[in-house]
Amino acid sequence: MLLRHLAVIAALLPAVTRAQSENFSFHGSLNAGYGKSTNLPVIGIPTEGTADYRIVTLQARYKATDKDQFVVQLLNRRVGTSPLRNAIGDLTTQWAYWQRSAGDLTFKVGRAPLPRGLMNEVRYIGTVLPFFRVAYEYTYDAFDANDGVVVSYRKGLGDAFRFEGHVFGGGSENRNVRSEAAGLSVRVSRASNMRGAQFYLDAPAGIRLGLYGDSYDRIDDATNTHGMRNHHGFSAQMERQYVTVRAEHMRETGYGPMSDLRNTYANVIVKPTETWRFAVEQSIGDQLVFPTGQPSVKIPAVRSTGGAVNYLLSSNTVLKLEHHWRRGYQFDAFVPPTKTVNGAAVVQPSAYTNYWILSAAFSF
Amino acid sequence: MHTTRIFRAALLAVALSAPRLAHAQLFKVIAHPETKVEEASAADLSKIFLKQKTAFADGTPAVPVDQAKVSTVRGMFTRSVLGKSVSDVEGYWQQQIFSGKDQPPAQKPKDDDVIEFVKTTPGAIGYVGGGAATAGVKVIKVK
Repeated sequence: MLLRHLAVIAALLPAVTRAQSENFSFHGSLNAGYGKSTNLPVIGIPTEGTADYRIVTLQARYKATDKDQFVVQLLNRRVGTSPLRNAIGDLTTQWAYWQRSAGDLTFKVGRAPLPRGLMNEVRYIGTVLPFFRVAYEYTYDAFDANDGVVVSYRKGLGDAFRFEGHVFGGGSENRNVRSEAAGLSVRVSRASNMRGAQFYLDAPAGIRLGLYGDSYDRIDDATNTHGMRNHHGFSAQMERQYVTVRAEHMRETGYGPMSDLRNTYANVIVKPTETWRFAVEQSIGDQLVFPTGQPSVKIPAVRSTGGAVNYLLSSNTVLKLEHHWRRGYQFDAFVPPTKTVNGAAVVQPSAYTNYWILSAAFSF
Repeated sequence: MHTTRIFRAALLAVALSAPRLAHAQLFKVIAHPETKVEEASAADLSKIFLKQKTAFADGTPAVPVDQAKVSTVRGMFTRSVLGKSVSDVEGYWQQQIFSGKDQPPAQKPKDDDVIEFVKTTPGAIGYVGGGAATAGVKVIKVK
């Protein structure tokens, strides 16, 4: 299956390259793999293994004038046996927006990339990621675009520093699987009246620091109930010739239903040669659960450690083998986080699984 | 003891700087003949070729042009001036493209194509092999 996809894209590439012109440009990516877990299904990867695991993007950009561009990016995803598979369309319009540049300012109107942490906009592009995906607990299956307006500002601050700021307003989508006190919950909701900002400061030695915040009305798709959510996050990255170190933290709070999540990941990518890369990642997710009629209980929802080897066939074709050790309560099968004992909620033992993914990523 | 340390440090500094100097002689940075720039630092050139800086010091919009990914001169220029590998720079451009931020500079396959582009495009800046004939374009000194 994977080879067939690669062959089709390789066959199309010369035609696509010919179609590039001064005003039109086309880009695309494929991120496809085979995954298998040991004890429990997780992030769409079952114990029996799946090759139904891929992300394809196709981007078309039309430069109408020196200042105006139109961008459309289509997205095709297969998420294995994830409970979310019925909530995700096979082919969706990830972006469709008009972009206007005016000096240091850029305006995007429509369904545009949502600046939300270091890797949000490229979360599906396997060739720029050390693992198949950005730490799932950080992105979930949510907030990959903003339906509304994004205003960006970039400015050099002397020779060594650079500021980048984005403010946005609009809406977005949120799909995730959550272990609640009573069972596994697939939550599909709409972020409405969303407003937020992302700021970055670039400093010498390849250092980038980020600060994020948003607030929105949460509308549950199934019940049409309304709630509220806030996020705030921090990012730090140091990118050097032979090593990249990256860490991000995001906290979600809100009600309707109640939510309090704290997710953090850190990874280190070592690049000893032009063709080999080695990465390790630690991901931590803490969650408050809210048993009916009882005080909330904090559970260590996710403790995940991953390691990956990347082999670059070229700068736009990467083969990856990764392995993850994961403990906690967030799986594609229900693992009860709490049990009521003598009227009080008691944290239950966590579960454990390993999973690995062999994948190929390609982009042009 | 102290003198030995200084001597070793000096040797190390020479060894580390030698490839950079050698690279500098193996490519030339060229610009459109009407560009009012005589010299540029590696840091400024890096910003221009990564499109983090969109104009020269006099305010003229800068139009960088790259060579093909596999070309030897691109490898030398990228290592020496941008301080990165070509695959790192390609990764940077993939991030820019797929985050909807920007597009990479135009790419030309050979020195002659770069020279022709630079000669005919106001604000253009590129690089060619150290032995390339550069009539009709301005050679920029790399500081």
